[in-house]
Amino acid sequence: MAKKVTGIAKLQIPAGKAMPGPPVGPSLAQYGINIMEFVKQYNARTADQVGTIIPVEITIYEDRTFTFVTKTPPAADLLRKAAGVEKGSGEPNRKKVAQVTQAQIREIAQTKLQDLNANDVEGAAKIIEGTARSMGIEVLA
Amino acid sequence: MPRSGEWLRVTIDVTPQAVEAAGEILRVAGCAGWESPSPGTVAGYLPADDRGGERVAAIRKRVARLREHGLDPGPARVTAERIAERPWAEAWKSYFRPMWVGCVVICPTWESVVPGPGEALVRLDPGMAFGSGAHATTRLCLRALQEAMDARPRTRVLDVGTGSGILAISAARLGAARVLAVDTDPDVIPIAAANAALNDVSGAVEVREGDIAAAGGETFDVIVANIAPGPVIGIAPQSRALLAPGGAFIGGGIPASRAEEVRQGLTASGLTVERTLQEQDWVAVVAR
Repeated sequence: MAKKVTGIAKLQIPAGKAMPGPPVGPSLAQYGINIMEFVKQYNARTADQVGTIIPVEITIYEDRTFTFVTKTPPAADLLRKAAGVEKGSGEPNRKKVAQVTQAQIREIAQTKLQDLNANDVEGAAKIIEGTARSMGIEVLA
Repeated sequence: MPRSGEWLRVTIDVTPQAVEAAGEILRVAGCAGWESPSPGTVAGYLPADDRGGERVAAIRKRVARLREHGLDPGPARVTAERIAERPWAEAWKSYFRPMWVGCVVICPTWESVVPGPGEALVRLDPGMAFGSGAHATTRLCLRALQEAMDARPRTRVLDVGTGSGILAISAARLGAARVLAVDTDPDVIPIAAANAALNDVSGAVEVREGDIAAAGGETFDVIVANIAPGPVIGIAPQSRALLAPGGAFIGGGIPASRAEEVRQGLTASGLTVERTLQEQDWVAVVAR
């Protein structure tokens, strides 16, 4: 098909529970695509990952049809899972809620390498470490 | 939905390395997801209620402290704007109206049209497969398809790269005796099949995953391929082998600037180019 791309939208939304409200609605309405169809398809495709945020990249074509691909969960989701906590700290500087090891940081860096703005695993690990500390998760030396 | 009918769109501008942390800050603040409009930016939505200002202030405070955690927050800018609640999910419907292409009426399912004498109604909601009728190349192929079918009763049609199934379904609604629709994208196969069912032509339209080889050794009176210049040229030799004597090959998805290249490619494969149809910057080439 003569697929000419007219837009790409990137969203991070709850797996299996996307709704047509914000951020999905206002983000996609400008492209004139069938938002309910996207929501239905996204929820079906991510139904087995409920409880995590699953980033999605939606490609919109000239005739207002679309396709989408899902990505790995955000670093914060992977960190919470690795640390075994439900949520991060509201005051990360004063209150630490959990700890992760360097090995766990490296594993997450490896998983997220393609999605992060990093040249290698070392660079990615630095981003993951910073993200962990910003959530009140201590990184063990 | 917030009681006020308004939302606060909160945008955080940082650097690409700090966006993961920025997204998490939005999540903690209560955003049910967020957008990434550019590599160093995230934007989320909060109800514009009494606590809106307080939440934005908390977001600002946390963004300002990202540097202390070893992340470069760059501009570390947090902005909030009020936006009104709208029927976002309905917005797209204003782009799609019933559309006449020759004697085929493409009609979204929420509209109703009574087709005139000799008109064929095709019901279709644009979704996750190319071919809504809103693109010139689809309309060109549809016009060429009707002309080719007019000349041959009991037509057998092959649709290569069917997408939404729009051309295959139109062929069946126009009275084709047999339609085979193929596509290499496994995701669109159930969509095309569902659209065929919606139009009561499941019996006439068979949908198969694959390229032109999936047609086996069957013979067709019309082969339509609304794909792209390279693939159209690529399937020309096989198309010639599958065409009944005097049958028509319709190639679409071709920008006007590449029409000559396609005509030459088809000729080199032993087809005789009959005519070129143009709409806007797109062409369809008909050969025999």
